[in-house]
Amino acid sequence: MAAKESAKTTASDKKSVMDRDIIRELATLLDETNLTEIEVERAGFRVRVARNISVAASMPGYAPAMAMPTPAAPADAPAAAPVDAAKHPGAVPSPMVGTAYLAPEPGAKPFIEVGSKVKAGDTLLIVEAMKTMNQIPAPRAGTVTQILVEDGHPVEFGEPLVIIE
Amino acid sequence: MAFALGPRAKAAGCRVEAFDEIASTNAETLMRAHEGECGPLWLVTAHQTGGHGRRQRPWLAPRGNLAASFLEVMDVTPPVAATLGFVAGLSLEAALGALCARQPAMGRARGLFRLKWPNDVLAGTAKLAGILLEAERIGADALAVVVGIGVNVAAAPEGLPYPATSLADLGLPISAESLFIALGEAWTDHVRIWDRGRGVDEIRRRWLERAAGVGEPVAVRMPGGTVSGTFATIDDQGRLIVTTAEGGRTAISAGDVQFGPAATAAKEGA
Repeated sequence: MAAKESAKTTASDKKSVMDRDIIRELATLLDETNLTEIEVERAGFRVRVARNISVAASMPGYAPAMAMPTPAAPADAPAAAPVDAAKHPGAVPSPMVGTAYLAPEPGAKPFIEVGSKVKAGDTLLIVEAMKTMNQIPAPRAGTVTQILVEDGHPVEFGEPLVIIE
Repeated sequence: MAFALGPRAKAAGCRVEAFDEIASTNAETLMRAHEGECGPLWLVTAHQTGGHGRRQRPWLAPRGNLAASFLEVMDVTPPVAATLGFVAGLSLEAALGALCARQPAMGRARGLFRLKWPNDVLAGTAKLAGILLEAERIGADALAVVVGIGVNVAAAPEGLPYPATSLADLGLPISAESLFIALGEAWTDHVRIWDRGRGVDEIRRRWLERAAGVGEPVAVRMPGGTVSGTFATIDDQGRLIVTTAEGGRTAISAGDVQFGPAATAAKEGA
């Protein structure tokens, strides 16, 4: 999966004073925290650093900011090392394009949380496409160390959903 | 009259188990899959007391309505299995058409049924049936696929946020049992066309011929927001393709679909 980083300012007249260190710092923070986006406002300009999962491009309803033109994006935006969770030996990939649900129904207790102990076959989450609810079972026993998707958000084929160690 | 399968379904190796009353045919079918059942098997009842739809929304079914779930453990991928929802909608539409064609008094109703993405069956603009698929990997290469079909035969539930109708409301004297036989036959025919996903183009073509709302305004509500535009078509994976006023093209795999005036209202409210 190609995770690409984009950075832009929403105040174009301020872009000349864009502080590269801030972007670099945010990009590093994005990786460390595994968040999908961070936005900070400081001294009259705003910086947003986001990890753009490719599905967002085909689903503008979910990520309208991604669909906007990005004239203000600096050409030399720092290329932070991508978080390659897909290569993690404990990654559980999505079997299909769809929408991920962390709980059986809205407002219900999620199937798993970080730290949950699971056994092989336990339902981790549901990926829905075309009103087909795909229950994603744990491929092996272990502890959930990361949940990489948000409830109700789109997921791509092969996108890592959860890491079990 | 008891629930039974017709000759074509039997010849295809299908079995059926009927219940006087059951909480959820889908839940029972998934449990059977966990216990090693591979199908093809139908579980059917005319009194489902705890059915559910998308996101566990309750599916209310007064006694006399049909609830049937089909199970088969298949060597297909989840995206291919998801196209069976279109097979289910087409099968139900074909079953209803076949029953109406048999009696001259019901013939006028034949053209009434339409398919709503991804797999509801409408009579006019009112929901007559809901279909929900559930899939779960069983073993290395096998996927247990459950196709749940609920049809308002005797009565439509009241107090729903969308128009609903039943065969009885439509003046069609069809029982859950006779509908099930026709459904079992039509399902067998359409699964053969689907052919483990190899026939999905033909399924897509037939589905689009009977689809509601193609070329009309559509609004799709999803957890992250609403996409509004025109319902252009469905792609080869069955995704709803919406073209927006700005010329964008969005492929949607999950959401609540509204057509016509409701779609326009959703857009204005968005």
